[in-house]
Amino acid sequence: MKKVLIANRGEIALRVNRACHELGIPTVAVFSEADRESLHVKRADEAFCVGPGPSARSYLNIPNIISAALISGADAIHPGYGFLAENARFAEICRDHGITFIGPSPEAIRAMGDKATAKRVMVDAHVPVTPGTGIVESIEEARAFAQSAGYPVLIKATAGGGGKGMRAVHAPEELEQSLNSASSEAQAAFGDGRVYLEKLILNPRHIEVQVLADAHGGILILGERDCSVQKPSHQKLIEEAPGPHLSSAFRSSLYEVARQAVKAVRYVNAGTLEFLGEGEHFYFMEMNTRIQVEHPVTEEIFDVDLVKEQLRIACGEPLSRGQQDLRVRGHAIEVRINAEDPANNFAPAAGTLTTVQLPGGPGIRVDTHVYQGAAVPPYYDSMLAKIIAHGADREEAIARMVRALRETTIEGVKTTVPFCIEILTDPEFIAGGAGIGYLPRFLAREARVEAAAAR
Amino acid sequence: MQSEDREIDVHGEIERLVRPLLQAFDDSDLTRLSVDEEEFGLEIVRRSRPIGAVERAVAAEPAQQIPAAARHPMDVLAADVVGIFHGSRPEAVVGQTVTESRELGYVEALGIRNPVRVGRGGRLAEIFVSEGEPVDYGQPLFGIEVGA
Repeated sequence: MKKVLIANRGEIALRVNRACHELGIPTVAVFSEADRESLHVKRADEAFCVGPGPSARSYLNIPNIISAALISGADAIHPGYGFLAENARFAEICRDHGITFIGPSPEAIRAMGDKATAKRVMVDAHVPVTPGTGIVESIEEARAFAQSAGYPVLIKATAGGGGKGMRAVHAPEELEQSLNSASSEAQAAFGDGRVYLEKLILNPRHIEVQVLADAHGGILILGERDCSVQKPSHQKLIEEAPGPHLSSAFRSSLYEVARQAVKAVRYVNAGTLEFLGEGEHFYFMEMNTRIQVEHPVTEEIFDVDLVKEQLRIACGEPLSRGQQDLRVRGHAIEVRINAEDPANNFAPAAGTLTTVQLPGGPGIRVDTHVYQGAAVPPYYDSMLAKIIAHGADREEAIARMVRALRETTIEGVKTTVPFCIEILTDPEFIAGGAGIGYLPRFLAREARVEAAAAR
Repeated sequence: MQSEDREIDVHGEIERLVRPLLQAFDDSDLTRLSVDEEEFGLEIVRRSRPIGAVERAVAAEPAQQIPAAARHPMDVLAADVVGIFHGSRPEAVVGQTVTESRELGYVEALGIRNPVRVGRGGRLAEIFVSEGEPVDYGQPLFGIEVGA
């Protein structure tokens, strides 16, 4: 690998840039006109503007990105997360131009990207899945399933992600309308209105397993992350590893299933299998065929560099260590600092950051692209920084995170910092193992307290 | 490549001042934006954007030195694909008059030639690129004094 083009922006572009530079590989950044002053542009060895602010014309502009790679002599592209990371066509185009796509094969991306196909593959590999339908062709079919599985049921878009095209249905009379609105939302968001139904598991935990697989059949299972603290839009806000209060029987069964799944897909590179956990049971949700936002918590507890492993795997090298070499050390928590207002349904904010003071000290890692005076453009996701706290145990990790958040000052836009301090000091979060219903419950509780105070 | 290390000249300065405005305009729904300050005049009009789209700016010379009637608006032809710039033959030279839709060069990207054509005719005032140079999105290629 002579030179890597990083087809992304923000903190993940910097994260990949760091891994490349540590391995002595020069980098090429791409940027939109709105990101001309971004840190990822300055840190890279070369940079190409690939379009105007809106991502459809820049970070998703495949011809300009490929052209930048060819002109600069980059022989590999790291897609980061989001944008083109799970675009099978893009991975194919890279291959057609002799460029290594740092990620799995287009076939694996395609198979896992279509949720109905992914589920079928997993069922064949004896991976447990939630009871559900294939693509729903008629309201009668949906009714029949909901009747037999029992309400509530969840409508999901086959092309979905980020909660788009997703509806919970609690009673038969809501079904038809929810089906129609979910389908049109999915059509608008993904150009694909196909939806399917699943039994809704009430208050499950979001448990995901990080995997690495090389081209020689080597597989590493890097434990689980608990990402149950999610906003009402299903976007993750706080993630931790290991998952609190999981039995060793649950873990060994989960890891064995993850290994089966990786083999079934003939998966190569880094990936994440997402499960819903309920008691001693877990059900496969989806596989993300990319590096994830929350990957640092796994890196901290295993002392592994997942992005460097991605680069090595893409070069055809075997994994740098074996499963028996992996030991969990302590506990890690990540908090996403977003430019958004929790008091206003997490509405995203754009503007200029007038003050940026980030935390440090023992056990604290900050992955960010922001700096004092930087602009937050309106076109992209609202994440400003990830703060990762690592401690000898969960208690220490939480204490360090609270301390780090109190050290953090970001002004110019509203952020999730104060809100996350409230969560991290809330007894229910501290107890550990609260399900995905926790944050909505917390918000409702806060609203009640405020209403009472206003009276 | 990032556009930098260009000679500092009056048109370069205009480009530097005008680019943020053009960006804001491009991202808005406006079809016309007019700025009329004592030392700075600018009018941007949205048209359909062909390859090498034309952005129109009015020079920033103090009004007392150059009478308003003698001001020529400056069209900057910019690359809208990432690729390698090649000049057309016969080579365009600074100072010559160029007519509407003349091809001054092309940006080769993924084996496709994306022609750079004159929008409105005038005097070719600036050539910002050299033969075989890699160019990125929005990089200025030519400056034309419209009607000169």
